[in-house]
Amino acid sequence: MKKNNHASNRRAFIKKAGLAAAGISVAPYILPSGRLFAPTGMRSSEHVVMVAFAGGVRQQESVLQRYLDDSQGEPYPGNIMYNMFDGTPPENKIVFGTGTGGLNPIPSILSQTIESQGTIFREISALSAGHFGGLNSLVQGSTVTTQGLKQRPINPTIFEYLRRHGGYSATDVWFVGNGIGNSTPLLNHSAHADYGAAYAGNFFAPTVTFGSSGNQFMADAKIYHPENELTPMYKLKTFLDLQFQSLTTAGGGLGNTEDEKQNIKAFMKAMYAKVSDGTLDLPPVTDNGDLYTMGFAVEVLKWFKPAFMMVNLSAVDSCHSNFSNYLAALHRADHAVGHLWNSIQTGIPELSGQTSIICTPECGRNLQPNNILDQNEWLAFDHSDSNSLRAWTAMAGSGIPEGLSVGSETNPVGRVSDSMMTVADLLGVKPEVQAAGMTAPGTMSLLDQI
Amino acid sequence: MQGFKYLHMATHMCGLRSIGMLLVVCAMASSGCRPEPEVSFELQGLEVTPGFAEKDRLKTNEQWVAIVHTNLFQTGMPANDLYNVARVFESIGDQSIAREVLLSNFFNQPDLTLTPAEEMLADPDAFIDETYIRFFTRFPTQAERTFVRAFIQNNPGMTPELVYMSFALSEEYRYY
Repeated sequence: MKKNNHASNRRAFIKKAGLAAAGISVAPYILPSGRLFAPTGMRSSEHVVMVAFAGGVRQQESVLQRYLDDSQGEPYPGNIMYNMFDGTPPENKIVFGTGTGGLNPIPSILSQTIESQGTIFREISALSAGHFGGLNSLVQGSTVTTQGLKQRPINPTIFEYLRRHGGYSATDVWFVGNGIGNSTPLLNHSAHADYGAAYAGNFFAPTVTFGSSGNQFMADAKIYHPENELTPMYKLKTFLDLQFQSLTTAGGGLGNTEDEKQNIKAFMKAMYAKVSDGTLDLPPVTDNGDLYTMGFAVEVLKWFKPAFMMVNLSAVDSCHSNFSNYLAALHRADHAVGHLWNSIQTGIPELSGQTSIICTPECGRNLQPNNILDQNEWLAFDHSDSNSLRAWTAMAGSGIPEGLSVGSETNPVGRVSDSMMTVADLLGVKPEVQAAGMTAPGTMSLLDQI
Repeated sequence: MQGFKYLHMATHMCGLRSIGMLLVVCAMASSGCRPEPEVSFELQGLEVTPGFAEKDRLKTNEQWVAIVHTNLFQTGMPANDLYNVARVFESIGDQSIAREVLLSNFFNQPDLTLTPAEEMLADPDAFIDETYIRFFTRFPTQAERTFVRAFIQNNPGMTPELVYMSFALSEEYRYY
């Protein structure tokens, strides 16, 4: 009997010791940054800015530089995006500039184009011919057929991958939206059970936040003393929350620390003051929403110096009903990118020389026009056919090879979802994103396709 | 007495035909409309309010803003303003920040009248009960009352404004 007890105890001990050893070897390590494991990828850029050059951009008027030649049957090619692409502007039928009739093209901001500073993927494949699907492919690296409007992304977004696997803080990752329509505010995090709001990117739709409504209800905010007022206020709130959470499970926030929250509030206060004083760092021309959005995006970069920021543009979507306005919006989107890149290189020393930029439309536009004529009697274009699945990517800066051109109209290389994987690659979490296995099949870093 | 006065006047003014009807009115006025006597059956009266265990539905941004505005200003927010505030909320990723900033704006409004700090300190229990009812539509438990009372008394910087802010930002206030 005694012998059996010893044997039983020994077996139990060995079993427990084995489990403990296995547990120690498997259990994740909590690193000082808060992440579970150290990222296994190599970070080749300190900061990455991704421009969702969105709204549906035709290859013909953008990277192919055909202006009216491939849309309205008028033989006037030319480059209207001369901050981004090498190429001469059109000489006739100028409608995309400023002033009456858009006769005055906006001067280039950059002395060297993004193309000459970096790498162009001239022909990539979009995963969706729609805006929301396309934007989801940019933030998730995939499109899920069950993904609908008014629904959080089903798979994790790049913001969540970066925060969970890269250990970036909430104010290290930003999404600057062009507005609050089309479910744009939902794109800063997914509904995925293993990721979600706790790993979200911070989000502003600045034209709303700092517009007239925001100014009416948010600009007059009090600044409380952090120790004498806010600390006891939060203590009492914590007590109330603990009482409540003892019986319920209330939802959490984005994971901003209290310091980060105070910093964001200080940023908001500063932005309302800048709007009021007219001292925002806006592009030289600011006659549409995209340009204001980009101005605020530059302010976000200046204030937070985030590791990753995605900014969404959309004015080119006017192409559904007005081709001339589309050309003007395309020209301004290029102007916005020029302002962004110039500000990074010349106005933010902490980012200069350490930042990379990736610009990708979320989808293209149709080959054939619809029947809507504009003021110049030019036809408009929707996005639903195979031409809508044609896009491009322009990237430059830290970690990006200079002067490369990859793929062509007859030789597509890459896809829209690759932009997200490229961000993951540049910021050192590519292996973790790949291991998660939730991107579209074939999605890979563009740097691996050069 | 009131009934007889009416009867006397009516006799002169309307004649005997109305006397019968007026008698009925007088009878109602003198006895039929008396309030029911309060019968306690020797039990202490207790106001019943919902407890926090029943709050499991998250308020929408519009609901939260509308309710907090009413709780603070004792008046509803115009529908147009409500719509615009909800849009601003949508434009800010961290909703807790949006709520804090909006509240601090409200507390900066000249037409907002708050309980003076002296009044709060003079009768903290009454203030605490009123605050729980105002924001949580329930009375505090004895433990809650004890903690909040001690907290207010031991933190000299704690004003009614900051107490209201704690309640308005609390998780319980986000649910109904």
